[in-house]
Parts: sequence; structure tokens; C-alpha cells
Amino acid sequence: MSNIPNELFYTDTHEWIKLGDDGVCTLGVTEHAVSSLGDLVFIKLPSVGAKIIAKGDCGVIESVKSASDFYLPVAGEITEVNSDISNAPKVISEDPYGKGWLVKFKPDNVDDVKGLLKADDYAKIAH
Amino acid sequence: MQKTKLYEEHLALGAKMSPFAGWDMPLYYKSAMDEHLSVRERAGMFDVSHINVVDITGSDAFAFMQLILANDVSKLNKAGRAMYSCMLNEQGGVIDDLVIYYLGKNYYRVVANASRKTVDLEWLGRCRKSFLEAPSKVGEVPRSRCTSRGMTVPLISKNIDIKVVKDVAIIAVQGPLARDKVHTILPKEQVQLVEGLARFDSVIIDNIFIARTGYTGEDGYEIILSNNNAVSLWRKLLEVGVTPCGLVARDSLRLEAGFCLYGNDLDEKHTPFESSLDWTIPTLEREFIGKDALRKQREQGVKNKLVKLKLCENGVLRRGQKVIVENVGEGIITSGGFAPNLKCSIALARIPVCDCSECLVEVRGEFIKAQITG
Repeated sequence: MSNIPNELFYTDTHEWIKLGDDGVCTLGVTEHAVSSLGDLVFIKLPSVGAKIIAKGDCGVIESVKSASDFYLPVAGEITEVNSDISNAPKVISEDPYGKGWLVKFKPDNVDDVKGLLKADDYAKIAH
Repeated sequence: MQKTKLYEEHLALGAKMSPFAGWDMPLYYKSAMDEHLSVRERAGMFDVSHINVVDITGSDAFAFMQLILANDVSKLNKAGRAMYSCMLNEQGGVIDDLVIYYLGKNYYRVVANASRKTVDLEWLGRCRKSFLEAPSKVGEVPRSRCTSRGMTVPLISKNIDIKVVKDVAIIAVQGPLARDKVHTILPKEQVQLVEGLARFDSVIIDNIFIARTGYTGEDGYEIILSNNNAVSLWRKLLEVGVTPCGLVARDSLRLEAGFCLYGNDLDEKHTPFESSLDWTIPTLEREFIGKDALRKQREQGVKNKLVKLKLCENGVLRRGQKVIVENVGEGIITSGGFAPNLKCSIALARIPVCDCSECLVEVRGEFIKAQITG
């Protein structure tokens, strides 16, 4: 069973979202997703300032096996990207909920984030 | 879903399994990248027992092989020698690509793709039937019409036997240390026999078939042995430090080595010329299935070829992406991926014949530059 921290929100496409006190969210991919991708070789991140629609393409994670898109589950604007991982995608596998975060974004509506999957719900689909 | 004799070994090693050509096969154990590198630097082993092994024997086996293969098996002049060849349809399209071992006079062992097993066997059966029915020389009476006034006309009967080799496991041990590792676990008298094997040579010792061939670009052995002995060999290799590797590493290794994969880089719609396999067709002056089509294509000019690409920028080339060669035309990536040794993405692509050294590839809506490296 993979690690699914309780304090985060989740999507059925295996992203996790952390809602910060300032209303800014951090997004990454779950441990479950990372372990099924295998070795990661390349990450493409969006530009800072990009406005993305709900469930819109946010970037791509390329593994030895395949290319997987990741999505912003709610509409929002990208405020920061984790440039440290561009040259070291391995960090995502090693620390998916910490140093392996992908982007920070400001959601158009914070309530949209609160409506995402809770850890218990995500646990049911992460297998 | 079929399971190889080593299935439980894979599970015990924590392999991530996946269906492949009707078999449940290991994709990777821990890290496909590490497995790839272990084959390049040391020694790795692959369970490839899903591969289809067919023995073709009989008094006319040589003539039959000459008919069904685009390469010339008369070049196999010593028992044990192996050769790579395409098997073509009448249109010159590739039905399968094979490794053929010459095991003795009129005795050939064909190693064929698992994904093509049904098609191959059906094709071989059809070829056998028409081969047996056809007069072998002008004026000879076909067997189906061999009675005359109620009396049987004696004919020189042709004989071809096609038999799938069953209940065997196949383990490929590959890498710069692969042969040494295998030697350490073989009985001394067997070591002497395999040590002398040249590349593309094979030998059968005590029912174990050992060939100095592979699909990784490294030296090593491919070993075909009875299912009963498979687990023991696998465990011995594990004990002497050979890294178990899955199909993901097998694919990245062959791509890095520039080898074609059937279904990706080869198919029935393209001739070997269009996959840059001209070297496997030494002559169009002898009769074989597909020869007329190849000759016609060569006369009219082959329009496409298969080339290697290397991505200059970040990103990963994948099968199906569009290739644009400026002022020449468009092509398509037939195999793509990440090359762990080169630390960049590489691909095989079918593009119009030209002398260009670079092209553009459409990767997820963007055009990025790639080098044509061969």
C-alpha cells in the first residue's frame, strides 16, 4: 500500500494538491502514480503565469516506458514551478510529496479545491 | 495468459508484470534504467521463453529455407552458424524477422517473434503445402496429379517437417561479463565447448542449446533449455551476480543498438529496403518469396528508409510522432524512447531517402530538432 497523506487533496488522475494558508496550492503526483511510471527521465513544466482551465494540461512526465500528462484539477494560475526537478526527475520518485512537487498555483476558487478527493476516497482508486 | 517456467521467480524478485503477446512477462524488476546499464556495464539476463522456436527439418529443408527467406542460407556452411533474415510475403512485405540456426544438413532452428507466432505458423504451413505440391523442376509431375492410367507414377517425394519446439525456456545472458558469468556455472567440459564459439555460432551440449547471439548490442549467450532445468539455471546466474532484466530494458537496449522490432520498425506493409535492411538481402538473382516485388521496388527506386534519430533537446521521442525533413518530405517515428547510456532520447524513423543530417519532430505540438545519426 502506497503512502497517501491525510492532509492532502487528490484527483482520479493521481495528482495531490496541498492547500496553503495563503490560498496558494502546491501540486505533485502521488507515490502510487510514481511507482507505476517506473524510471522518470524528463519533466515538462508549464510557464509561470500560465492560466490553466479545470482539468487542463499542465505538463508531462516522461518515463522510460511512457509519457504521462498531468493536469490542474481546478482552474487557476501557475505562480511557481519546481525548476530543481527539471534536471533531476528522480527526485519526484524519491520524495513525491516533498521535494518532488511540480507546480504551485492560485486557484480561481478555493472551494473548488476543497471539493477534490480526500485521502480515504483516493485510497480506493490507488491500487 | 501463458506463464513461462520462470514466472514464480519473477514474482519472487518483485517484478512488475505485464501482458505481452499472450504471455505474462516481467516489464522490470526494480529499475529498467539500472537493468539497462547493468547489461552495458556487466551482465544481465532476460527470460525470453515466450519467443517462438521452430525446427524445420526434412530432406528438402534447405530448398524450403531458400524459398521462404530473403537472406541466403547457403552462407550457413558450418553446423551451429546463425543468420538474421526477413521472411517476406509475395508483395515483399515482412511477415517476420528471424534468426536461423543451421544445426546440421537439412536441419534449421528458427527463432521467431512471439507476437507473430500464429501468423508465422500459418504462413509456414501454406508455404510448405505449395512447396510440396509444386514440381521442383520443369516437367516434373506434381504429386496431386501423380497417377497415370490408374498407375502411380513414382516421384521423388519432397519432405519438410515443421515443428514448434515445446516445453523449453529461453534465457538471454547479455553484457561484457555475460559469457564469463555463464562459464563459471557450466561444468568444465562444457566450458571448453562454448568458449570457442564465435559470434553468431551455437552449440548443443547435453540438450542445452547455447548460441552466442543476442538482441542488446552486447556480447553474450542465448540459451534454450528444457523447462525442467530453467529455474536451476536462472538461480545459478542470479547467484553469480547476473542482473535480472525485463522487457523495458530489452527494448531500450535494442533501440540503442539500432535493432528493428517487428510491429514497430518492420511490418507487412514495408519491404526490408524500407527498413534499411538491404544488408540482409545479398542477391535478387535467386528465387525466393517476395523477390519479384523487391526487384521491382529497387528498379523503380526505393522511396523510404529507416534512420536513427537523436534528440538534441529535452524531451522524449515516441512511436507515431511526425518527422519533417526540410525540403524533402515527411516521415514517422517507428520506435522511440530514452537511451540510458546516451542520456538523451533516440528513435528509429522511416523518412524519405535523402542525405540529410537533421530533421524536426513534432513532440506534443512542438517541433523540435533531431539529428539523423545513421
